Amino acid sequence: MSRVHDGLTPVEPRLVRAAGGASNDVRCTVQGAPGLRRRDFLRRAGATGAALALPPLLADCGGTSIGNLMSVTWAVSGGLDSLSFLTQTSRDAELNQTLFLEGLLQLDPQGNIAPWLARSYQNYGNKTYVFQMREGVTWQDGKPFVVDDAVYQYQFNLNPKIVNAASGFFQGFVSSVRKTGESELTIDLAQPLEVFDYWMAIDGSYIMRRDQLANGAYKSVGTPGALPIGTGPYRVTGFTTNSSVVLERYDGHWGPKPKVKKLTLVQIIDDTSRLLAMRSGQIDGTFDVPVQDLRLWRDLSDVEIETSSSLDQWWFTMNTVKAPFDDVHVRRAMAHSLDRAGIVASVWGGNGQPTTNFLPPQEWGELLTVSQINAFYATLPQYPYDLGAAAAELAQSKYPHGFTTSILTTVERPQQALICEIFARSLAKIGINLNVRQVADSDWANEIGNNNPRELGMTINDYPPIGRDPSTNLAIVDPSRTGPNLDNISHYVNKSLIAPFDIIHRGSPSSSAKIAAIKEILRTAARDVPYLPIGIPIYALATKKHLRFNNFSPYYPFSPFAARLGPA
Amino acid sequence: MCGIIVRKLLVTVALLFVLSASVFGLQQLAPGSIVNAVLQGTPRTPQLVQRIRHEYGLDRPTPVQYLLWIRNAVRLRFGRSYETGQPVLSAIMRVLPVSLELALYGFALATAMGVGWGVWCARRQRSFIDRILNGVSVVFGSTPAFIIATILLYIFTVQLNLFPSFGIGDGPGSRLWHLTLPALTLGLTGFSFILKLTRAGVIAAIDQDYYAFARARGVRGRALLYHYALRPGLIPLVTGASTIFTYMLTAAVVVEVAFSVPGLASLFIHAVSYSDLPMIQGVSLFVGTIVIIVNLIVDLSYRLIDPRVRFDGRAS
Repeated sequence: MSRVHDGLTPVEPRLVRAAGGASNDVRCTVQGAPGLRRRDFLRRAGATGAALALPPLLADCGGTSIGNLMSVTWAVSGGLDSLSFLTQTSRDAELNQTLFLEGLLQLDPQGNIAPWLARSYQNYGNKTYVFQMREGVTWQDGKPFVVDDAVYQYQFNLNPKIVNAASGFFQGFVSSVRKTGESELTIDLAQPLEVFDYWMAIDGSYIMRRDQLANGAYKSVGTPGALPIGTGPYRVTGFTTNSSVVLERYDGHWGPKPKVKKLTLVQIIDDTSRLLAMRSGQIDGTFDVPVQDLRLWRDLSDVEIETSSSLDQWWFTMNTVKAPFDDVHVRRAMAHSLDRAGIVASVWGGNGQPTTNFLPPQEWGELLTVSQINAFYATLPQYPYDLGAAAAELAQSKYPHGFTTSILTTVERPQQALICEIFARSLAKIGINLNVRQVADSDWANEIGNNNPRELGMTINDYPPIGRDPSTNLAIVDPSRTGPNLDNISHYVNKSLIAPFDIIHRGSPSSSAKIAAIKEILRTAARDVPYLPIGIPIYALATKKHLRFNNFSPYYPFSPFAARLGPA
Repeated sequence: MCGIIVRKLLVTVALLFVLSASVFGLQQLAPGSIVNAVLQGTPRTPQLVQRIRHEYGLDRPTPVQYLLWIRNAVRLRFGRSYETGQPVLSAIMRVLPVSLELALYGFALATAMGVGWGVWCARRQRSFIDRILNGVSVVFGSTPAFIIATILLYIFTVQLNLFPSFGIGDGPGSRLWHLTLPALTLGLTGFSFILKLTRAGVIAAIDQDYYAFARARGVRGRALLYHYALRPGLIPLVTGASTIFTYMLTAAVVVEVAFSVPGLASLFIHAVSYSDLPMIQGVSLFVGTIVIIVNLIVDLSYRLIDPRVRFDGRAS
């Protein structure tokens, strides 16, 4: 029996039965190393191979060698299904889209609307918006960006024959998009919409290249085989669906040059896996620090945790035109049954604050100081957690013995179900049976968005910040904004609010008039309780200690975050 | 033999038809809306909703929708994802290699551990080691995959920093390295079944007369083990292999999430959470087909392992 291999010369080509009789062994020699057994040779060869292979393999994963910020690996919890804003509109998706795509406007870290591809804009009666385009902008392949590109994108969004996630907003509110000058674009709305510029800043104004939209190309753009080309500070160089995106700094970008040259976004859905990846140093940072696990994250060595109020108001909505929520005593009974402090403690690990008003003090902008706002809030009707008071309110309603209702929660936000279950346990004590049902995110979002007054009952929602102008956030109680796709999802109409909203809608009212109007609105809404504010969790950011994220704020997803990363 | 193969293939086609009808029917009954999946909660107009319904054929009767779908599915056209707009087949083909590699890697580890230790236990029945290994297999077999995944991540990623905690890497070497912990998780959860089957099969074979006669003829060592104990003992293992492989594909749901592996399971979970009907149907049909084919291969392989088994399934 001869077993001759390259480089091996059998010196004793005979079967040697080992002592236990269970294995065959062939004694061999390696040329130049007489007496070395074949098994030893293979063992050493394997060890040498592993030693040579491991360093490049280790270097392949993670972004820990980032002393000069050449490369950063950042974990995200989702949003990497596709890189196209035509199919992905979630906040997770927004986080990566802002890196390579740009629109006319953007929200800056303070929550103010900042001109972006438009260097300025004018608003004519909340119905016509005229944008002056920035010059010197190029696509990431070096070709110049012109106003026709923006016109093409927005007319594409308006095209009734094309259906995508951007269609709804444009086809619902925009009537025309026109080029009105060499570097001027005009958008006419079908009806006045005072939050149009906010929408454009946070959601609806990304622009892709014409060749990625035309002739059906839009159907595949954003997939690994058709990487999107934008005008943003980073260009996409690699994409694995639901796994990772590799972005490299685009040095031809018109704006300030980011310090991070290469950014890899990796999708780690599981919270524990993300924590372990951070702990092992395989990622350099993440915005997805679950607030309920904040203590575990703070215990990580070499990791900096920064927190910020999220302004992400969580609340329950009650359809005020549908029984049983058309009865104000029912709504007040619900309000007294809501253990806000308990929810903040158990669902968010205490990392948040209970709220009694749907307009957080931070969203008043510069109108009043926080202490003035809190003093005003103290004068409003309060509904502390008190099941006795809840039962008393329910006794005054048309349903003194309680009722049964249901609520949908989205699988994408498991905290919703937790909050609802806690609420349901309290409500059960006063005879109200709340059935909690988890559904697909799109179905939950549809119920909120479509808000049919005949179908909608009670909902849970969280309202991320759109800006620092309180009038935009008051739209949820605006009598003129009830109906499908509009903000007032409780269908709450109190005619005494028409006058104060007129003041707010009147363009630029004086500060004192605006403050008085807002106070009147909040006072009336606090009496009628169309919404049940729950609380505001904090946002937490984790970075390796040699990294620093500048200006961490609730508005971080709306501008290219990597541009704010720098050395500590 | 050809007749038997043709008959089994026809049964496979019938099974696929039942599977497709079930998947389609369940999705029709399930809550959720295509319009929601396409527009994702963004504003909508009645005209837009009508257009989406028309574009996706929802304005046709359900049986017509099914027939259209099955006609396209036969031609491997599963439509486009409602959520991302990608063709379903290309999305599946993109992640299928990863899932198959993971399942095969996990299956190989489970088999290596299960068969190796199973034989060892069988040869040392009721010994201390036998009891220990049986106990260990029970522990791993009854521990949820996500707990094993977390423990492995903690040991091999956090403490030893030997393996990556996420992703699939680039290139074969890197891919193997990235998939080792997920595959080990699958292997550890699946080896207990293989160990028990192997142990029981080998013990049963050792009790047979032919084994005693072989020993009496002086056959010893590996020849005795492989030819007279392990080969006949493998038949129940082969029967169970399809179950184990199917388990590997389904357990991957948890493992892919824990290790951020973008495979079929991740694709499916995401599709379900977005009510992405074409993707759900496509993945279900694909995984169902894989399971049916694996079962077919197992059926056909009996004869190779045990010549006593005829293709009508009875022992000769």
